[in-house]
Amino acid sequence: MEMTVIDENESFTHVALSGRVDINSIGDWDQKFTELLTQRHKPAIVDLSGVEYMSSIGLRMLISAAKPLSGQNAGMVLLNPKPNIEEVLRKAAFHRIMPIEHDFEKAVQMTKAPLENIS
Amino acid sequence: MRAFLKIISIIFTICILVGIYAHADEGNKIRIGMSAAFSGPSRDLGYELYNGMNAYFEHVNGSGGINGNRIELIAFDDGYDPIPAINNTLSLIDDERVFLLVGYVGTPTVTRVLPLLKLFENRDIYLFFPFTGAEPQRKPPYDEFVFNLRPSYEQETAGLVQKFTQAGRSKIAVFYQADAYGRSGWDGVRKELGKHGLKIVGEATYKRGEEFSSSFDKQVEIIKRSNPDAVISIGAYEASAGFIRDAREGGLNVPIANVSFVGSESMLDLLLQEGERKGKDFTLELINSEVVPNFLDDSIPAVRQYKEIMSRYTSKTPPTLIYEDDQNHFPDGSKEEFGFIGFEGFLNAKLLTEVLRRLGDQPDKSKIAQTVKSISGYDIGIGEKVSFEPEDNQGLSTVYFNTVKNGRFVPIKDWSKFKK
Repeated sequence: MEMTVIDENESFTHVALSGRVDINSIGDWDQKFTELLTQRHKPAIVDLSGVEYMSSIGLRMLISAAKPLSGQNAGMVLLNPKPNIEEVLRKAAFHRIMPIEHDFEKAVQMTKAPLENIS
Repeated sequence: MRAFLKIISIIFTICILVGIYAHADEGNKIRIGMSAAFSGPSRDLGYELYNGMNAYFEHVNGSGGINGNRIELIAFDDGYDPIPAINNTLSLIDDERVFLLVGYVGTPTVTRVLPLLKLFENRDIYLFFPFTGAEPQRKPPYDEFVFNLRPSYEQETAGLVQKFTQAGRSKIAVFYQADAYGRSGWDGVRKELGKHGLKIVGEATYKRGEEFSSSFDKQVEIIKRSNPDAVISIGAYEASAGFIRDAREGGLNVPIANVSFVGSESMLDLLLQEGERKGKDFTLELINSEVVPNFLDDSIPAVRQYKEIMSRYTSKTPPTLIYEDDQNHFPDGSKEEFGFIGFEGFLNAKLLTEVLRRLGDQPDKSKIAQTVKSISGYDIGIGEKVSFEPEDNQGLSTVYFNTVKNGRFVPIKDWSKFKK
């Protein structure tokens, strides 16, 4: 897998993941991903359009970053996943914790919305 | 060609053996995974359930294990928070490679984990005996992945509503946690009142994580305005005790009932301490519904066994789960030696041990569901027998009612004292 930082502005962090996100490819990307998102104390837009495959280790990478972000009252929006990836995310009900969006401008708007109480 | 077939045959045999090895777990250990609150204002629930379960597993391991296999209970802290519960579950499945999941605590946590069980259905991940009476794990599409021992919140709240209405108390208000747990209990009250042609007369909520020190005066005011005959509280012990304290201080003196999840002893401890400080009895007119018999009743065989095994229990809560400010809680593994939650954990472990025994010396995940469903009329030592049906994933149905007498919860034998 690869991670590319697209934008780090005053309002949010925009990062893109690509390739296969599984046990063989993750290396220390999960740590780098969480560090990048949480050190900035900003909401995050995670572009998943380049992700070909995501195993449970990828789900853990996303949820591991979501917890400290929620503690900072900053949300995470997942942008443009391929249908097979979106199916996994929705089956795992991750869309209830981190919204899935296919339009960048809408994703930006979502980062401004207050976090819902996760119950 | 023959050599090729032989190689294929050897590879096939190795695959089967590796499969069996993976199922039975390395070193004759059956690793099982738990995620629960071991920190935060609901931490007593996790510790008590863990110790009740682990005491029985220690007893089993000390007696030679199950078909030669030892049980290892791996517990992670989720702080009663859904996101860590999801993370813990993925870690237990992937890193710890547990054989099954057991003893999860809480509705908001368990309901977020259920989709993962469905997602990984081809990996036969089952959750046993969660400490929640909510409906989602009792209904499709998740019921096939979860086995419950305890009755549901619908059954607990229905029982309370029936008892109150029989006692002439038909104006019932609800105080509840603003999340999936609270709504589940609220819905149970609403449904049962509906059967009697009644409605909830007043309701007030609080945010999950509120502590005993919080003020619940606003909620008391809202509920008082509805002039109820009784209040049913669907909360955790710190908030529920805080509400009871403020209700009594505010002149709301009708019976207040709690459901089993509250953590009865922890709630009672807070009220007794507050009563001592203020020279007032905050334990009057309290009713708690429970899903196990009273642990003080030594006429029950499982209670005697529970106390006997707990008295020999030496394992401590894993060091990773002990926090600096927990020193007064678990220097010896438990704040209270006995309790409703610990007893429930003990019964959970007892039944799970029977399931694992029936799975044989090489337990196979793919046979878990059919093995549980084979349990019918099993005597767990509490009088009521445990049975699972093809379309029913809940083993017990009896709800017990207790009230406080001389600083302890005792069974209610006569409801006339609660008559309006």
